Amino acid sequence: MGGEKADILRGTLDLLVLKTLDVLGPMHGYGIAQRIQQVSGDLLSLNQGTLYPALLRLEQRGWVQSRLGTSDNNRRARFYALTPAGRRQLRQETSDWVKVSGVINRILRATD
Amino acid sequence: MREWVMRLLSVGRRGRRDAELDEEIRFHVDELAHAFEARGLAPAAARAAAERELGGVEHTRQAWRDQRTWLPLEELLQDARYALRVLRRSPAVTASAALMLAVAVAGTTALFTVVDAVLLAPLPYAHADRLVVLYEEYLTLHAPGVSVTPGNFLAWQSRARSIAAMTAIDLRQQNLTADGDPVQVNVGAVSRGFAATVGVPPNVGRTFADEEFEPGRERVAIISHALWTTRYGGAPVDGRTIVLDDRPYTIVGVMPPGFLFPTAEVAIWVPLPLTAADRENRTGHGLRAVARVRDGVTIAAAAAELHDIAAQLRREFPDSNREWDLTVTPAREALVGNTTPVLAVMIGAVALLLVVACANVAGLLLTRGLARSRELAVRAALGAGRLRIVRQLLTESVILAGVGAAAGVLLAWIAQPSLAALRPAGFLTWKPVAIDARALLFAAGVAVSCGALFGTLPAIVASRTSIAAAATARSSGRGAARLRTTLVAVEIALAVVLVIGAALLAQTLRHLTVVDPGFHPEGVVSMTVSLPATRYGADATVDVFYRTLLARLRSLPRVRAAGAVQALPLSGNTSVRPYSIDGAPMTRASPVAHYRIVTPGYLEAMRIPLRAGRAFTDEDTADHPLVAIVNETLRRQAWGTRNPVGARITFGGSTGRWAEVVGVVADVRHFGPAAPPAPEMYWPAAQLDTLTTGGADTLRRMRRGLTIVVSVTDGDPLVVVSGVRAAVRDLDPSQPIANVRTLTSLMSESLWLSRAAAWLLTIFGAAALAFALLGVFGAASYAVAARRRELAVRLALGAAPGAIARLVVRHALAGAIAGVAIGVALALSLGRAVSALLVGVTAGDAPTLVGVSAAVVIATAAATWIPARRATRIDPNTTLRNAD
Repeated sequence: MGGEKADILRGTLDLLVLKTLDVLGPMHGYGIAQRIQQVSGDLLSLNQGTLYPALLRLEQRGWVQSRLGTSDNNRRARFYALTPAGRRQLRQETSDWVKVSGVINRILRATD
Repeated sequence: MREWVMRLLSVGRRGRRDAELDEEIRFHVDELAHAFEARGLAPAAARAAAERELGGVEHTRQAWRDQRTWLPLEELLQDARYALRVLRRSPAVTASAALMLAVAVAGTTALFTVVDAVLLAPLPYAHADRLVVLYEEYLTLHAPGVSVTPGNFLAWQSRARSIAAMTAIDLRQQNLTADGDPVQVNVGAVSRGFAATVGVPPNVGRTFADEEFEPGRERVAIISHALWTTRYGGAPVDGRTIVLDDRPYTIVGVMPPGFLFPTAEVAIWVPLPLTAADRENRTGHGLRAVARVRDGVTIAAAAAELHDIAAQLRREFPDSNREWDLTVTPAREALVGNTTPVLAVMIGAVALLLVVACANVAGLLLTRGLARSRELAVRAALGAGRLRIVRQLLTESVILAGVGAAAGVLLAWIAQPSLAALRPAGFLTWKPVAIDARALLFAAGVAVSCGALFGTLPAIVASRTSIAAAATARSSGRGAARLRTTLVAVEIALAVVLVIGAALLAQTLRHLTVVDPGFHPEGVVSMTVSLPATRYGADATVDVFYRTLLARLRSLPRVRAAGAVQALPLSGNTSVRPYSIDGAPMTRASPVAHYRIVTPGYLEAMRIPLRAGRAFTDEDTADHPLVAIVNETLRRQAWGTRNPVGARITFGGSTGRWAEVVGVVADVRHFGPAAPPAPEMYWPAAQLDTLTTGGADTLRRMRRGLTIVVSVTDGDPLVVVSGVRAAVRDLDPSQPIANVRTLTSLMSESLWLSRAAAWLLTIFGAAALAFALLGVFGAASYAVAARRRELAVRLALGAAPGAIARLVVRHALAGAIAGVAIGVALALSLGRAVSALLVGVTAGDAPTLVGVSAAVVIATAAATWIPARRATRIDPNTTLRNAD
C-alpha cells in the first residue's frame, strides 16, 4: 500500500460510514470498507479495523442499528443500517462538511 | 450522552456481542483473504495481507472493547472480581479482618448518629448560630445561670445595639383543662420579640400579633406540633379555645414538628406582657432570656456590649444590681453543653479503636502480602506495572473494608436499642438518633479511608518485593515481621490508653453510685401539682389543700409517709437567698443558702436523717413562731462547731423577721452525686406568708406548685399513684398530677452520662485490647514461622525447648512493654481531656496505671503462649531438609 494515499481526516470516518450506509442500505462491515475504498479510488488509506469501533460508536449514539443477517455467500454477518436519527445526523454533518471544506478551499485558493 | 449510558451499561458484561465480534472480524478477514487470493496471492500470504489490511485482529478487538465500555471502570471491576477471589481464598484472615473492622465501624457509626443529632444537626431555629442564651450571674457567689429579672431584661433589650431581637420566657407548669382529661403542661410565656428571635413561623396559623403583648390581650396560644397531634389528633385547631389554669386562650398557631423553645418540654406558648412595673423590677429573678445577635456582629462583640450594659446597670441601680453581671452562652452549648465533654472523649476513643483495628488489619495483610509475593512477582513478570499491582492490592483492602463496614452498620443497627437505653427518656434531640442516609454515607467514608489506611503500607511493601527476590528468597519476611511488631506495639499503646480511660470512668461510676445521696430513694414516688392562682390565690386555701391531701395520703394503705417540697433533689431546680444569723444585720456580704419550701412529712418521706432537734410538724403554721431547719453544711458554714438549735436566722427582706432553728438534717446531694452538697435551709410552706416581702409572688407561685413525695412501706411505690390521683381529684376535680417519677429512677437518670461514658469506653477498651492481643498472637505466630529455620538450627545445636519458648515470648514482650510505656505516657498527656468526667479519681491515678500496665503485659505473655509452644515443637530434621 503506497505512501501517496491520504489518511482519513480525524472525525470524517463517521461521516463516510453514514454516507455509505445511506447509499447502500443495510450492509456488513466488510462491505462498507470495500465501498469506501472503491469510491475513493483507492486513494484513501483506510485501516479497516478502525471501522468496527466506529460502527459501535455510531450504534451507541443511536445513529445506526445492527442485526444479524446472511451475506451474499451465505455466511452469518452483522448488517448495519441507518436510523432516522442517523439520517438527520448525516444531513447535518454533510452540510457542515460542505461549509467547512468550502471555506478551507477558498482560503487555500486565496493564498496560492 | 447516550453513548456514555450505553458504555457504562456494558461495563462488566461479556456478552454475546463480544463473541459475535470475533465472528464478524473472522468474516471480514476471510472475505479480504479471498479477494487477495483472487488477485493471485498464495492462501497463507493472502491471509497475512488481509490481517495487515485490517490492522491486526487483536488490535481491532481491543479498540472495539475500548469503545464498548469505559476502560478504567472495566479494570476496576476486574480488580474487584480478582480481589473477591483472593479474599475467598483465605477465609480466616478475611473473616477476622472484617470482624475487627465491623466492630470498629459499628462503634464509629453508632457514635456518629449521636454526634450528628446533638452537635451537627441544625437547631430548629433560623440561623441558630446567631442565638445566645442570657443568664444573670451573682458575682459574690460566682453563681452563673441565675434567672433574669424583668427590669434587667428590658434594659438589655432597649440598650443593646448588637442584638437584633430578644425575648424573655417565663416557664410555667399549668393545668390544661376543658377538652379531655385535665393535664399539666409546660407553658412558655414569651415576651415581645419571640417571633424575630426564633425566626421560625408556625406551621399552621400565625404568630403573636404585636398588640397581643399588651396586658389584657394576651389570651392567645401557639401549641407544639406534638401536643397538636397527641391531644387534638392533628384536627384543625385554629381559633379553638383551650383553658390554662382556668383562663381561656384562643389557639392561633401550631409550631412545626421538632421545634422546641426554650426546652423540649414546653408544649404551649402564650404572650408575656411586660409592663411599666416590670421595668422597675430588678430583684425578682424568674425569667429566661434568648437573644439573636445582629448579622455581621460576632458573638464575642455582642457579649462585650451586654457586659458593658450590665456594668452601666450596676452603676445606675446599685441597690439591686451591685453584685450582678450576666453570662452569654451560644444556644447549642446551652442546650447540649453538658454532653459535649463526654462526646469529645467518646469521639477520641472510637477513633483510637478504629486506628487499632486498621493497624491490626494492616498487619494481617502485610504478612499475607508476603505469602503472595510469588504470585505478585509472576504478575509483575507478565507486565503488570507496580502501580497496577498497588492498585490491585488497594482494591482488595477497600473491598475488605467495605465488607467490614457493611457488617459494622448491621451491628450498629442491632446495637441501637441498647445504645438508646443508655440515654434518659427525656434526652433532648431535635433530630432523631438513627442510622439514616447521613450515617450510611459516613460509614462508607470510614470504610474507604480505612481501606486506604491499612491497605497502603502492605501494598507498597508487597509491590517493592522484586521479581528476583520473590522467586528465590524464603526469608524476605524478616523485615515484615519487624514492621508487624511495630504495628502491634502501636496497637498495644492505643489499647492501653483506652483501657486506662475505661478503668478511670468505671471507678468514677462506682464512686458516684456509693456516694450517700443524703436520702433514701427506695420506695419513694414523686409527682407534681400546680394549683392555679385563679382559685388558689389565698395562702390559706393553698395550705388547706396540701394539709388535707397529705393527711389523706398518709391514710392510704402501704403509705409510710407523705410530704411536699418546691425543689426536689435531682430535679435540677433550686432557689437561693442570702441569710444572716444571731441578730446580725443583713449586709451585702451576707452569705447565701439554697432554700427548700417543705410541708411536714417531707423529711420523713425522703428519710433525710435528722442530726439534731426536731422536724416540722402540723403545728408550725402562720400563727405560730417562725421555724427553720438547716443542713450540716449550712450549720458548719454559719455556726462552725456550735449547736444551732435554738439559734436565730433570717432570710432577708425588709421585714427582717427572725426564725428559730429547730433542727439540723443531713446533707442532701441535691444536684446529683457528682456535685458536693451546698448549704441548705428548710422552711415550712405554711409560714411563708409571714416571712415573704421581696419576691413574694415568686414564693407564692412556688408554694402553689409543690412536688409531692410519697414513701411506701414495701414494694413498688408506683402502686400508690392511682390512690394519690383519686385523692387529688376528690379534693379538686380539675386538678391533674404530672411528672410521676420514682426517686430510684431519678437517681439512675442523674448518673446516665457517667454510666453511658463508662460503658462505651469499656466496650471500646475491651475491643481495642482484644484486637491488640490478636495482633500480638498473629505477629508472634508469623515471627515463629519466619524464623523457622533459625529456630531449627538452634534446636539442632542443642538449645533447650524452654529457651526457645522464652526467646519467642521475650521478643513479643519487648514490643508489648514498649507499647505499654508509650500508652501510659499518652494516657497521662491526654489526662486533661477526661479529667472533666472524673469524680473521686484523678487521671494520673497510679494504681490504675500500674494495674492496667501489668494486666496488659501479662495478657501479652499469655497471647504468645501458643506460638511459643509451636516454636519448641519445630522438628529440626524435617525443617532443615526441606529447602522450602
